Amino acid sequence: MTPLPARTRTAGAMLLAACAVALAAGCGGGAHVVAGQKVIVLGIDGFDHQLTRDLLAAGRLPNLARLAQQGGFTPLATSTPPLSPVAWSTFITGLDPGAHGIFDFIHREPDTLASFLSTSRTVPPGKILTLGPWQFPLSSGRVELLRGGEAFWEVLEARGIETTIVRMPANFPPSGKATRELSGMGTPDMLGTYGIFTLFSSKPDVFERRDVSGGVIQPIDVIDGVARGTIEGPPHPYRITPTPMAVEFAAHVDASGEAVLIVVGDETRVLEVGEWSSWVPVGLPLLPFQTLPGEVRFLLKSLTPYFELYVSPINLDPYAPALPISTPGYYAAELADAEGRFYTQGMPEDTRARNVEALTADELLAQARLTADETRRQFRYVLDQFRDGLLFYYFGHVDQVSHVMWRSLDPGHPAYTEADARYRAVIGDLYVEMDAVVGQAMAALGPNDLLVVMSDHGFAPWRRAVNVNSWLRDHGYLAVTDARAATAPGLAGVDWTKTRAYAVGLNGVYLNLQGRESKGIVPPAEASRLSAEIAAAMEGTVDPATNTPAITKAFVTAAAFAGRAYPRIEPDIVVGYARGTRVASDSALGIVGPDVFSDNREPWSGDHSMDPAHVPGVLFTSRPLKVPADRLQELAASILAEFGVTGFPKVRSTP
Amino acid sequence: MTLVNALLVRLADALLAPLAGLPPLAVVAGCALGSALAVLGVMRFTSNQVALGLVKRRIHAALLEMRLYNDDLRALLRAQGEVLRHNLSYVGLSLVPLVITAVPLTLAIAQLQAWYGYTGLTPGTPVVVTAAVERGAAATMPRLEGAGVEVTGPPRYFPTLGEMTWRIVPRAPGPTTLRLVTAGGTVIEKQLHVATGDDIARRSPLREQPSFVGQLLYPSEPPLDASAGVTAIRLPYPERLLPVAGQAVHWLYVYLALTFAFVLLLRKPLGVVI
Ligand SMILES: [Zn+2]
Repeated sequence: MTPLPARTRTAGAMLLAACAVALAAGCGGGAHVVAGQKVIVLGIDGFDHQLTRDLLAAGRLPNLARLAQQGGFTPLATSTPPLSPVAWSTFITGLDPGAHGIFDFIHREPDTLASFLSTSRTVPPGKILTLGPWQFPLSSGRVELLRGGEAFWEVLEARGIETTIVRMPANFPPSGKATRELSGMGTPDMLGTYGIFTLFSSKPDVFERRDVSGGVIQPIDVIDGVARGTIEGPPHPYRITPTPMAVEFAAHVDASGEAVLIVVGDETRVLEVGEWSSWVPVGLPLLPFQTLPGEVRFLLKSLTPYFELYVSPINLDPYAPALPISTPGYYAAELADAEGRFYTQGMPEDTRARNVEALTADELLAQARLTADETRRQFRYVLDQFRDGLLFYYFGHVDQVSHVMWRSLDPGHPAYTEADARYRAVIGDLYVEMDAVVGQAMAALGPNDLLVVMSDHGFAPWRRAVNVNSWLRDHGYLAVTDARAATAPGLAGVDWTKTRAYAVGLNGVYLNLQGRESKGIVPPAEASRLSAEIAAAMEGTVDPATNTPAITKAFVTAAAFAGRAYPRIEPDIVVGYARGTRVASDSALGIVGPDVFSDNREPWSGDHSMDPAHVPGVLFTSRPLKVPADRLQELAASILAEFGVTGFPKVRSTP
Repeated sequence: MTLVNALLVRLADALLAPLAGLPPLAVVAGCALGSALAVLGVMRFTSNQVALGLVKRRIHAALLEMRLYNDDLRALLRAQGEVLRHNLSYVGLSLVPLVITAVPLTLAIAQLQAWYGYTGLTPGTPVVVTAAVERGAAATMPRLEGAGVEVTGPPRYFPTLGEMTWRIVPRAPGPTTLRLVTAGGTVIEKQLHVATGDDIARRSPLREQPSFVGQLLYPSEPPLDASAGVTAIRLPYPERLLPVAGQAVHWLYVYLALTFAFVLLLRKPLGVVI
């Protein structure tokens, strides 16, 4: 006897939820008006201006070439700093970071220096009832979007124009203001992170659970033909001592030793070596008869000589997400019904697993193929459903693959080897595929309609790394009590009584300011002079290996940003590295290493967290815009102008 | 049971095949109406209607008492005891009709599940066919074949599960027969119905060796011959969900909810006490 599959059991709950939503919509929704035109905006993260020009010149992007001819093609100046959450927030709000409050992927709490994800935060439930080892929340917690400012689609919705916003970055939880919305970059996995994978391995050096950046390595053994493992979910919310909710699986090895049959709950999948599974729904046990639904993909990496099984981060189940990921709530389920389950996680390409060699280059490319196929299939569906108003649709895989494959285009890179040459075509081919998507969008245009193809920033090689914290130490702005302790992350071992500035994240430098930092020593009156002094010193820094400037521009934010709405979290300086140079990963994590400069030897070999002047994005339009734009920050206003809407954003923050 | 199933399958197909072109929701609603009428009819003629009416009034009286004396703990407890006692006798009185309706309803639900519970495999999309096999049979790795079906890759045998799997890609839409050919030449068949669009047709995800429960739940095909060394063959038909108010819901929920609603709606007009 087969029990009803999990999806059926949730169907009843979904029906109830749908009724509730329908009732709520009946009360609140304003009437929609017909805009009489379609505006389609394709956002392609990291689509680089220079590479696009090269491929256009080679005749490989016929649809984009047609667009350039009909409407226009220009570089699109990006945000400061040119990081995706910052850049997309700037696009969404028409504001600079000082006004929308997103300065980096990671922000720090000034009093504790604890770092947190910049775009959203979970608010724990207010009252909790504790009973022995158990705790029960009496009010529910929630997640909050930290991005400030008004999203440009809110302006359209306020005028009754329908908007569909799919995978807009820095929009988790979804704003709730669009007619249809699916959250994108910034949407966490079930652990509340940007994605934690698990690699099960029987290699002898893996003898205990080990945390690596972006994942967990777990030992596993094949005993009598079966390997059994546990995928760890988030801590059980009702237990006082943190105990992960866990999903068990068994991988049965076939008689020939070439395939496994994986059993998870009611689900089974047969995998050959090298094969990715389809999505496997899993239930994290919450209470008897109640589970938190999630989904994972498996990759059987190898069976001999060692058993190695990669398990994706546990994604929120689009049929019943434990956190809000769409507007209306059932839109994610509608997309899953139309085109199958999909990665709900914000940045699904597991570049972090690649960076710690848990995935090979080929495995990562195969995974990026899966994500690209999912988003392209969904795009066709969304495009078919789209009748009127604004459609924004986002593609993230070009950016993520570019990060880990850029070296293949860069023979001058210090870690370039012959092995990289094999992948020389990979990034260009992704551009060509996106050109085909552009072709689909063009085919859907009527005579009144507009297609905008844009990116948030471009790309550059990342050859040399700067440890900014070490630079600050060498220049007398940061002191350490103990050089060894300072090599641990989180700015351990820093002597705060003598430290005037420190770095957290990819581009931010913060003063140790009195009244803001808990151990602040810099008097507020000194702040602007000190910022200017550090910025000037940075701009004079030369990389000894190349004898060229390492930093081409250091922005003092007080002068660079017109908006100053988030003084507690705003960095005092945003560092603009030279093309080819980026902050060392160690520095971003708050490690003060012995050397300032080093070669970048990570697979992560392309980047854009540099001086924004070096990494512009692209802007293509199918006809000339009524209000032209060549800066990302102006683009939303130009799109609104196509609908006859002016005066966006309400508060100007142009420097 | 095999004979009963064969008859029921003929009967169900004769009734449901002509309706396959109708919206599934309409057919499920019609079946729910029929079931509600059957339930009410059985109630009317097999239960002690007078006694049922009496017990129901007593339950109401006790409930009223609970509300009136809710500040007197002793009265409250006594009234609660009354409610419980009358509820038990209510269950006792409705037991006979319940049992009488349960049998045909279960049989009908199994037939409806075969018709409305699954969607077909999509042509061109690979799936895995699984067979539970005895060790001896697996050693010779039986061969799978079927018209309009491409078998891709070698069969796999998982000794710890006692299961074999084949990857197949259905190519031609419509019904076909999968044939599992053992080394000794024995052929074991399993029906497969590949989708033509979103067609409604009889589909059975499982054929297994004789068992009462198995035959009750999967009546579409006769049980496997116990001597062949293959104890079950499974097909991964996706479950069919019906669109209800923009939501996808399993037909059984719709059917049960509608049957319940029809019973409530029709009991007064038909003068049946339940
Ligand atoms: Zn990027």
